[in-house]
Order: sequence, then structure tokens, then C-alpha cells
Amino acid sequence: MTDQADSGLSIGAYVGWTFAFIGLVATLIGWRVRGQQQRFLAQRKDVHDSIDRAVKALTEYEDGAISFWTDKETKLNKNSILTLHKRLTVSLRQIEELTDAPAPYDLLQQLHKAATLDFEIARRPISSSSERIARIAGTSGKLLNSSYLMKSWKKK
Amino acid sequence: MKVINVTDFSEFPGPRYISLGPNSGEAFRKQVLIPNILEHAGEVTVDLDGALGYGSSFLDEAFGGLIRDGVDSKIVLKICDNLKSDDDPSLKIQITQWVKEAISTYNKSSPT
Repeated sequence: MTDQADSGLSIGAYVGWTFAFIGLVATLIGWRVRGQQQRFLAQRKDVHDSIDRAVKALTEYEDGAISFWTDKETKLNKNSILTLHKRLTVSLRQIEELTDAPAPYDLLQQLHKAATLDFEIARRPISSSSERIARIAGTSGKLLNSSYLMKSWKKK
Repeated sequence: MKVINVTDFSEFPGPRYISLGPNSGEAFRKQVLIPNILEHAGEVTVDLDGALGYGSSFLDEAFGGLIRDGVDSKIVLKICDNLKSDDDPSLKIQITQWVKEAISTYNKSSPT
């Protein structure tokens, strides 16, 4: 009789411990998955914040370069354009650091060339329909629409 | 391999020609690049990092100008390969393009 009771207790305890163990494992897995999701969301947020900064730097660069070349009484000078270029470069490199995806440096150098080539000697202001302005606007547009500056929540 | 830091020449690279102002691309080529290329048999690395920024004309005149000055294109292309530009990797692409354009122009204009 006692043996049977002991045996019943043992089975009950065994089943109880098994459920407790399964519950513990499920909880640990849940924590791990939740942790991974939170890390992913935090990383994505960092990338998206960097994209916001890069888009801002790009639009300021485009606006600044166009103002420098087309406005008769612009406040911008050569060093302003170089500083705007540097800000955009730093922003793109920040995204590169976070994502490991190479930045679109070819487009960046095209924009730099259009904005700065012969900016010491060229006649200003130039027409807003000139080739240089078309290049600045066109290259900025390509950069803005590149997949590099697109936000995404997809896991890569 | 001789390392040339552009910032030793100037932290504020200037215009294309000497006649246009200080720290020009022409001055960098004539006073720094060519003497070092000759002294070190073309074994030079140019470090672009640390400067305020470069105008496109400075880059063309300094590096594309090497071809126009008659420096062997293989040496100039090797210098392009060895360029250090961690601050702005796009400069390396642009300089290589200027050099290739200069080589192409030089080949077209030279007598066959």
C-alpha cells in the first residue's frame, strides 16, 4: 500500500517536474526570441535614424550647391560646399558601419564633381537650366531614390 | 613605399592652378608628387585623409596632371590603387576617373 502511494507520488512529482522544466525552457526560449526581436528593432531604428540624417544632409547639400551656383547673392562659399559634402559623406559612412552594405560612392563622387568642379573660377550665377544644375539635381535624385537610403523592416 | 600626407602640404587644398591661389593642385603635383615619384621610383602612397575637403579641380590637376606631365601611366594608375582615402572613399573613384580620362585624351592626341 505504501509502495503504491510512493509510486503514485513519484509519478505525480515526475510529471510535475517535467511540466515545470518544459515551462522553464519555453520561458527561456521566449525571452531569447523577445531579446532578438528587441535587438533587431533597436538596430533597425539606428539604421533608420542614420538614413534620416543622410537624407537631410543630402537635401542640404543639393540645395546648397544649387544656391551656390544659381543665386546672385548666395551666402555660401567654396568651404560651405566642401563642408556639406563632408556631412553627407560622414552620414553615408555611418549607415555603412551599421549595415555593412557599401555606400554608393560612385554617385557621391558624381555629385561632388558637379558641385565643385572649377568652383574657384567658373562664372556665377549660372542658369538653373544649365547642365551643371541638371547634374546636381539628377545625381541627388538618384542618391535619394537609391535602395541605400530606403528604410526597411525586412530582415536581411 | 613613401607615404605622402596631403595635410603636410596643406589642410586646406586649394584651386586648380598656382595662379588661382595658394595650395593648388598644380603646386601639389609639381612640389610634392613629382619629386617624390622620381625619388622613390613611383613607389608612393598618397594619404588624402584629414584635409578640410577637396575641390574636383584640385584632384584633376594634381593626379590627372601627372599624365599630362608625362609620368608613366602605369605608375600613375598604381598610385591611384594605393590611394588612402578612408574619410571619403569616393575621392579614390573620382581621382582614378580623372587619371583614366587624362590617359585617354593623351593617347588620342599623341602621334601614332
